[in-house]
Amino acid sequence: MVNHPIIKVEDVTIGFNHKGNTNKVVDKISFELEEGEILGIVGESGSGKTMTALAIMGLLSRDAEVLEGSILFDHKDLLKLKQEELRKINGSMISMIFQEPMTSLNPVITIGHQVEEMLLLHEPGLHSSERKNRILEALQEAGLKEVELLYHKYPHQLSGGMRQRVMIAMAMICNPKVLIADEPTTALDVTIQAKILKLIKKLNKDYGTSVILISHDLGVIKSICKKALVMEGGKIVEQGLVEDIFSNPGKDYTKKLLAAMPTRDKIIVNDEFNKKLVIESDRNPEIEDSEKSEIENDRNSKVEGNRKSEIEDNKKSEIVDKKNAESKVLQNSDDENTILEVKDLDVFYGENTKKIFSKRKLKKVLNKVSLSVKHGEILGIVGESGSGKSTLAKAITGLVKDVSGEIKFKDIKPQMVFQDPYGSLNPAKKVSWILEEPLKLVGGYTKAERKEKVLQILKEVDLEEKYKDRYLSQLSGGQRQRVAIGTALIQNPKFIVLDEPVSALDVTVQAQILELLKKLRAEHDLSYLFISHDLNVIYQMCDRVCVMYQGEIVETAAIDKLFKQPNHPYSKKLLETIV
Amino acid sequence: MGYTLKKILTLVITLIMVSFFTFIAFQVIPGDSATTQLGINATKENVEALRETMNLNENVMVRYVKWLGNVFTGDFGTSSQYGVPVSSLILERMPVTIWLAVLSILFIVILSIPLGIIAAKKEGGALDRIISFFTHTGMGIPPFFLGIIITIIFGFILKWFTPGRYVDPKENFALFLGYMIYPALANAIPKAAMVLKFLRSSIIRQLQMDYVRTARSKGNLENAILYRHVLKNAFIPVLTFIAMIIAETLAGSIMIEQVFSLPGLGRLLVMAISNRDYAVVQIIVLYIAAIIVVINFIVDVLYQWIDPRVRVK
Repeated sequence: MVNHPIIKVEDVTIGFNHKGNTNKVVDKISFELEEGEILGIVGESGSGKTMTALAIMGLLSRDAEVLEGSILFDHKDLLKLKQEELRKINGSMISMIFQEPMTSLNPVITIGHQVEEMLLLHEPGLHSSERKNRILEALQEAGLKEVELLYHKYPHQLSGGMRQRVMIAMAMICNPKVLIADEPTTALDVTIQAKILKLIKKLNKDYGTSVILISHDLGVIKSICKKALVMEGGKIVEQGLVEDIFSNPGKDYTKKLLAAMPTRDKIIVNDEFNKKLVIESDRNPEIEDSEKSEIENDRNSKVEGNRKSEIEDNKKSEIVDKKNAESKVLQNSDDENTILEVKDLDVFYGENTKKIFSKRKLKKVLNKVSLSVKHGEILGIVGESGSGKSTLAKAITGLVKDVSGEIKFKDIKPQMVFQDPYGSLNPAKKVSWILEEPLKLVGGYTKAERKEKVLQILKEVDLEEKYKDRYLSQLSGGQRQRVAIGTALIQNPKFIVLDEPVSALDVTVQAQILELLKKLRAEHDLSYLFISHDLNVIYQMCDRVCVMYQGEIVETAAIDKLFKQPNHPYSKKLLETIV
Repeated sequence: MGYTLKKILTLVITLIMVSFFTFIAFQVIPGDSATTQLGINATKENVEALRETMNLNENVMVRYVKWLGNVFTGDFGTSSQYGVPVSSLILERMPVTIWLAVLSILFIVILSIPLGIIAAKKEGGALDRIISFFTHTGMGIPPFFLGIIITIIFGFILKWFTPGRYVDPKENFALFLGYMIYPALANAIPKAAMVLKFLRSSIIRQLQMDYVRTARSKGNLENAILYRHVLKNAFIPVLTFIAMIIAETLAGSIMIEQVFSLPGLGRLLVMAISNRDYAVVQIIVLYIAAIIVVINFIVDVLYQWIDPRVRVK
């Protein structure tokens, strides 16, 4: 293949206009996308990677502007084109898929019509039956099944993975020369992530479509890109072949990113997985459903065996690992030292029935869940969204009332830290108010005592004193999560439930928060129930881990054991998906 | 169509319950129709006799069931105030209220929807600001005062209509409609302003949604994005609001009827309440309840059509 650039970005600077001041978010970046290649752009949020992509598409928001530079596509400067001309290129020549498949499709238009719009816009001459055939073909190509049915469905009836496939079908239907994928897998479950990446790789191979893949996840970039750019603060700090960048990072920032990536060298040999990906990419990716039933069959037969091994594991839970050496507590612990004991827990959700007079129906979402957390231990819960992880956390902290079974605590009820530090804290209150609130609820503290406690906690979570008078909108995601941890910590609990505490955060911030949690555990003699969909994070943090699948715990094992010899087929599947 | 059937059933049950409670409520308040009709100085015997003829001595439940049966057959009883059948009173007043409502709704729709779309499209621009200014002014003025202003401008200065010269629709329908335009305008402007403001912010919110970015990336022009993608979504929250406004308008506006001396249901209700003309009050309350319930029913059905996410399988 003759390599010549299809998109050439030269000295592009993008800025936000704010009251006469321009705030540069992308600063003089230049790169080329060659025909048929997959180029990765990696960086944290705020590094300008999405801005760059939006600039190529001409989709920058009203207050952002390309201040200088040119973006050449097919010898034309996209930045100088009129809206009418750009409109013809967008969708047909260059198309884009976005991070949020849940919201990127119009909720009130059927899938078929949304895909059809592409053809109506760019190939107006087609007969309607011809159009329909093309749409069904494109949906099939994107790995969707029962496309005839799907055609008439609305986005809310589809899972996240299916929606992203629809987005891909839509983006690819006019055979574009370039596909820009902005964090296409970030919002998806791990098991689906790998399949979407496979699909992109396959389309790249089959049609020669050049791809720009944007991700904050080095693993994703590494798995399918040949070349990559590393962006930081609006600048390209490093670019070249992926292998070179990863094996021999030239810049401190790249090193930092790599270091922040949770370690897993011991567990999975990534390159092997990559090879597998390439080989398998010729196969049509399977749909999620068929695999679920496959696992289901396996599950029924193996579940008994797992229960037994789980009990044995519990007995042998003095795990000798460098991670635990830090914590003095675990060494003193013995089997009687159980902080939390959950036995045969069933959790139900009320279902709305459409009848006028009828009782609320209950739907079982957790089925006979048993686990125990020992003093000083971090027990991980891993699983896809919908597997019941968060429900379990809510049941343990008493936020869900429809439960049956046993939940026993040694001390007081645990505190909880939620996933979304943006949505879970009251934006109308100052940090000090938020931290004080639990103390007010418990009572028995004077105002001065509360103030003192707040300062002490801020110190604990490594926030400066000045932050006590700030509102949350003035804090970054990481800082907010520190506040959230602070609120959990202020009552001196012994046990904290952490529900995806870092998944909304950037990788380097993630690493800091995880460090903080480890430090606090050592200092305060804490135990955690640590919920995450991210196996890497789980590996880094936990002593033991429970794998959840469809409302049940299918496997509980010491962390090393799980990663080396997963027992249950679903655990195996989950581990395979690590990219 | 099990859904619609269920909805209609709920609708009927709601109406029966409303009728029951209004009926009971008027039995509980001290002083009955007989006393009101005869005055305070009437002799006990006379009152008792009238009570007997009006069947007021029977059990409440029995009377309710009888009354309900009569209502179903179209017999609403006799107005103690005017001494004529309630049904003829209602039939006489209803067209005024209905026409006022229809014209008002027409004005609300004509004013709010196009202007709301324009304001949202030009968000922050000069046109948006001008529209915003009028929106706030329109919302700030109470309808009766707006009625007075309209009377002064169109009645006294421009002399387009003669204030206070209401024409009965049976006499001259064109003149009747010509007169009704002005009260309808006074009624509509504040409500249109509210709908406009709501629609504008709803469109602006929708324009920031991810699917709009997707639509742009597909190569849509801005107008296509607005009309094909955004409007349907933007109308979802506004729909309920418009429906409530329509219901309110149909229930009759006492203020506007007073200012423009219209013989509508609103004024009838006020008179009936102060004269303890319960037969009339009950029917009007039932009418208002029915309007609200029916409009809500229509909204529910419309939602099924406009928003697939609430569609029942």
